[in-house]
Amino acid sequence: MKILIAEDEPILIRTIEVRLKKDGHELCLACDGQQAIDKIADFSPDMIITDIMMPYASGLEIISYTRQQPGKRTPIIILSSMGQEDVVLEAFKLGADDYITKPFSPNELSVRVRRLLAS
Amino acid sequence: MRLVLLYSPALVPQPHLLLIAMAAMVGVLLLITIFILIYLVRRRKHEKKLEDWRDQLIGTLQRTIFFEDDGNAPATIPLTFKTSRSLKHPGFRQLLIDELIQGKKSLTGTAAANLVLLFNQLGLSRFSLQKLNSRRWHIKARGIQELAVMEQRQLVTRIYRLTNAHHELVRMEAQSAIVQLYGFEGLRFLDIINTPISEWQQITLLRLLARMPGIQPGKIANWLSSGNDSVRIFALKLVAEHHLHQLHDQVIPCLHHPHPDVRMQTVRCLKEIYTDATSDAMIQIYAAQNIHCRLAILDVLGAIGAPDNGIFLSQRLAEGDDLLKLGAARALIQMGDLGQKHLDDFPLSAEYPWNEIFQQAKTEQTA
Repeated sequence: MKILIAEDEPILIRTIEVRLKKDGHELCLACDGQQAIDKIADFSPDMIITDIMMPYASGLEIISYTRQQPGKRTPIIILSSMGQEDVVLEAFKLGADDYITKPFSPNELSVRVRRLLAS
Repeated sequence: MRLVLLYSPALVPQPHLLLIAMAAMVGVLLLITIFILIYLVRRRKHEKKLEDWRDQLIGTLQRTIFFEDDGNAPATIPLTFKTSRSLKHPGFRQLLIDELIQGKKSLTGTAAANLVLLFNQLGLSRFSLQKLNSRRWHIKARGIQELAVMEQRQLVTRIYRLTNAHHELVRMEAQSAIVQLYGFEGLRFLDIINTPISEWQQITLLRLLARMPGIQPGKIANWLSSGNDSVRIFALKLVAEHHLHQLHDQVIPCLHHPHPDVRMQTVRCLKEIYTDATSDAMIQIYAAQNIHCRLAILDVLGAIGAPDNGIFLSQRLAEGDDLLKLGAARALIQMGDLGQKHLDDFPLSAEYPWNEIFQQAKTEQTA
């Protein structure tokens, strides 16, 4: 499956990349929100994993943009920090499917991705 | 008409002096330009070196994060020869520590444990410990944070000493570190500190403790009678946050504390743990409080909703200050039908300003 990862923290994006590549997914990485939005049309991901706080465009804008696109409904997982409950709720209202709170285990993320893709 | 000469020939500098001055200025400008260029070149070199180190570390960190212990021997994370050699360089070491810290803050489970394993394997704690001896507060604070994030519990005594440090930010960092490492048990520094805990630090500690088990009501009861007012206030917040009803009777005396902030926090706390005795205690002290505390008391009485509170609250509708009238009206509306009856029965309910006050309170309720 093709997964777009939008995360501005280098160590996290690399960790997620290694873990999901191990699961056999094809990945596209974006280090900021605008890059992620630009890559959605080109890459046509089967799933998006996005941080909320990022430069140039937030995770909420990515969700909003994705849900406005015609065609298949792409599952979206958000990565939130502790204490961002309001933002998480907002993300769900915009159309996010699942969330995982930092700090998180890469193995847990892998399981959630698998489960969401299966459903 | 004679033109008046406005200058004296003696004031005009001689040409050779002018040349010397210009040459000196050009020389100074040249020197400054050279210094700036040297600085920029050195900075660029340093940034390039950092970039190279970061690229070098990516592999090390990924191997660490996904390291799987085969269980046969003490776990050792493999390092490349280049990385081992680079560890001699303080800049590389600090970059590695920073990346480990960043990773540890973002990850949990085996990944996080492996980062701590690498930190211990390379003996990086002694470099973090060295920072505690620095005279510069920000370096001290950094060292504390590194030791706390990397779970260096064996060094807790060194950190504990700094929980009452002279510099506020060092204190805050040390207090947060101890709580991070030991949870509620770590709060024992509250027994001895004579420095205030800022509002911000209290919020930070409460946030850290929210995710931790092991609350100790006995210890909190001691802090409720601390001579340090900020410790008392923090203890009251803990009682409220964790709904420690069993400490109600120890909280009540704080209503008579000389400091208004302590009394205010006590009122807020009692809203979370009230009993049948709470209303009387609040009503007893009401008259002696400032307006903010009175408004808080009215709110709590409304939340408790006892029938006698309704009588007290309706009497407050005749208060001089309109804010207090509004506070009483809000509290009565909180009480539901019983409170509404008091509002309807108030003889001046149709007159200004009560009609507007009641209307506002009702609008706020429905909003």
